[in-house]
Amino acid sequence: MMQQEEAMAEDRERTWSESGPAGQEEAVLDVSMLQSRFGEKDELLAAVASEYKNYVRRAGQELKEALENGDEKRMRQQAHTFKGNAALVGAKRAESLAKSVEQTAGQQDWQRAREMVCALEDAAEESVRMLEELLQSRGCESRS
Amino acid sequence: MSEQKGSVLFIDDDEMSRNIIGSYLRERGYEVHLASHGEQGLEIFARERPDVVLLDLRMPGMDGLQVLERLVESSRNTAVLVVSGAGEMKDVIQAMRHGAWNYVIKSLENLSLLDEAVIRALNEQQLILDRERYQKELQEALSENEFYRMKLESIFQSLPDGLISVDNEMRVMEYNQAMQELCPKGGEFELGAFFTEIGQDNGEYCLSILRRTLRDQKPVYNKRVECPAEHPSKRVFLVTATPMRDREGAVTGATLITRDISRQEELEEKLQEKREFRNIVGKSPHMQKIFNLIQQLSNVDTTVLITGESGTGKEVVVDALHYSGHRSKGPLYKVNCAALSEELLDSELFGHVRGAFTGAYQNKTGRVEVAQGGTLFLDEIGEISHRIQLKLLRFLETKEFERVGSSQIKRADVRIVSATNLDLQQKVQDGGFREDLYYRLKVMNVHIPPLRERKEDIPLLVDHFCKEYSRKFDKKITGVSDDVMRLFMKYPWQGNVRELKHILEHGSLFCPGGKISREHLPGEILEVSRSGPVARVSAAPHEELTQERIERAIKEAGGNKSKAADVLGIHRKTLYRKMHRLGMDL
Repeated sequence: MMQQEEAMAEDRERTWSESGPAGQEEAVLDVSMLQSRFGEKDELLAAVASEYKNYVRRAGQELKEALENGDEKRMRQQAHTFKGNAALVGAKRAESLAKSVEQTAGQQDWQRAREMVCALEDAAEESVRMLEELLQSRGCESRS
Repeated sequence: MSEQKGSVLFIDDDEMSRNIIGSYLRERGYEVHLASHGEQGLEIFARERPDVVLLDLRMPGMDGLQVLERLVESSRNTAVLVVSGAGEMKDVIQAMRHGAWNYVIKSLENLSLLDEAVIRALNEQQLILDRERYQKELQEALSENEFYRMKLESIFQSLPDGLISVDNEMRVMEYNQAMQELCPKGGEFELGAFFTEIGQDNGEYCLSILRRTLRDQKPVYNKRVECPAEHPSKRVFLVTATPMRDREGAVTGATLITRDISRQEELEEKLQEKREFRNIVGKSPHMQKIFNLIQQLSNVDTTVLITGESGTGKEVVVDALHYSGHRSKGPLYKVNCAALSEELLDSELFGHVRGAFTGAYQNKTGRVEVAQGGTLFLDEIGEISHRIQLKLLRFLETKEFERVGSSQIKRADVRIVSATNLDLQQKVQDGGFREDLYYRLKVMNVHIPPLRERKEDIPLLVDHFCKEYSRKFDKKITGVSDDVMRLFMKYPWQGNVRELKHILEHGSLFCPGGKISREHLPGEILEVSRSGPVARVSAAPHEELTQERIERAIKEAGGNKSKAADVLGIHRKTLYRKMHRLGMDL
């Protein structure tokens, strides 16, 4: 039974990693899902946006440092966390790119890694911007 | 904020995840505790005891699996849900194997799933708690049940009465120690075995009662059973059987209770013996003295003179004397001396030879001779002639006698018991009875008091005669009504026990069953009760019977000689003899 579950889990992961080549086709932000999950909870959404914004700035910096230091392990860990947090706010493209960074981290292809990190930073910034726009459209101010 | 649903501890090293998921859950109504690493999580858990723990697996230091193991160790009912990032499925499965209840992949879409997973965990936890509580309550109820069962078992086993229960098929379901000991087949009792098989040869009595109870579905109360099995002494039980029913009232078996009343019956018999001695009934001190005296006299050959008014039961005393002594194997002959003329009495007692007198066509053996080795009872001894007195005296002194018309001396070993209702001493003084014979006859004197002097014996006598007539008339006569008993206690009983016996015979004949009441009694006793005691013709039994007294008695008795004899306090035959002597028409 458990072996069957493991096999199914691996299939699911494979499907997940194969979806979207480097996040180019992914939406920047899943606005409809955000609205579905947070509904009228503007305060909560503002808090989430603020958390995410701070995180993106902090994590982008840490990723670049790991890249410059050639620290693959750290880069993989950071990308993994980035992937999870992006998923948590519906930043689909950033999530996808973070996953690609995580996978690229062990391949010694620093050029490709640098490009991916830059793309991830852009996608994340774009998702932050869209989040702020969403908040503004709902009459809320984003927290710094 | 909605109503608080429960408390949640979220352990995750990533600050953003902690804050976002924490805020989301708070917004959903949970009390949320946050921990940034495993050690902190365990500390908060120990302090706050949250309902649900959300656990990230990949953490620096103590990782999620280690935390999970510690949580499961500390409380097996802790609901731990794994909250992981995508791509951690192997770790998630590992966690599920180590006791995690569920998992949720961190994502915006799955926030609602997280809420649902927490709710489900809380519900399951509640179910577990409920189940544990019910199990505890059930355990307590079972323990209590066991306690009462043990208590009942203890009572069941300690009862002195034997108990056995069977199902509808007569299979033994339960029995106690007393039953095992009381029943001769007790040693063979076995749970589940058929009672029929156990008691085939000896247990039919209990068996038939149980069968009847099951068949009629009605209890059988206090059935007296004399155990047919061989015992050193008689074993008597009171057996009660009741059907057992289920909640719907259907009979599922029967229970039999046996109470050993052997000792009780033995004591009752002894008590009865004290109140009744060889058919002589009485608990009065005088009668108790007579019982003792009879016992003392039964095994000695001394002559006994029984005195007492007519109807007091002198003949019954003779029976007791004879049958309780060593002469009981020999014959007992009774002769009413007043009923025979001198010649006939002589011949009756001592016999005669052929030709001894007119009509003596052949030899006749006298009572003295045929009573060899036994007892000869001479009733109304005060009525015998001087000549017979002399012959009797000689026999008493020498044990020798001659048949009428014969000179051949014969010997006989016979115990003489005599009786009279006359004042024999007075008769001696008047010269009507030989003094030497008087003292020969009266070596021991048993005087029976009249019934009016021992009225406390009346209820016992009533009970005794009612039983006798119940048997005789095949009726269930249970006694007399209170009213009749009051009447009996006031009545003078001139005719003594004989009169009481006749009245009860009359009452038993007319009573259809149950208690004899006034309407069943003869008219005379009712008349006496209405008008007060009638002055009997024979106020003193030893008073001389004159023609005038006899005529008056016959008139009072409406011409009935037997009743007249009762009124006079004499035997019917004595009345006829007196009338004959006085030349009255018979």
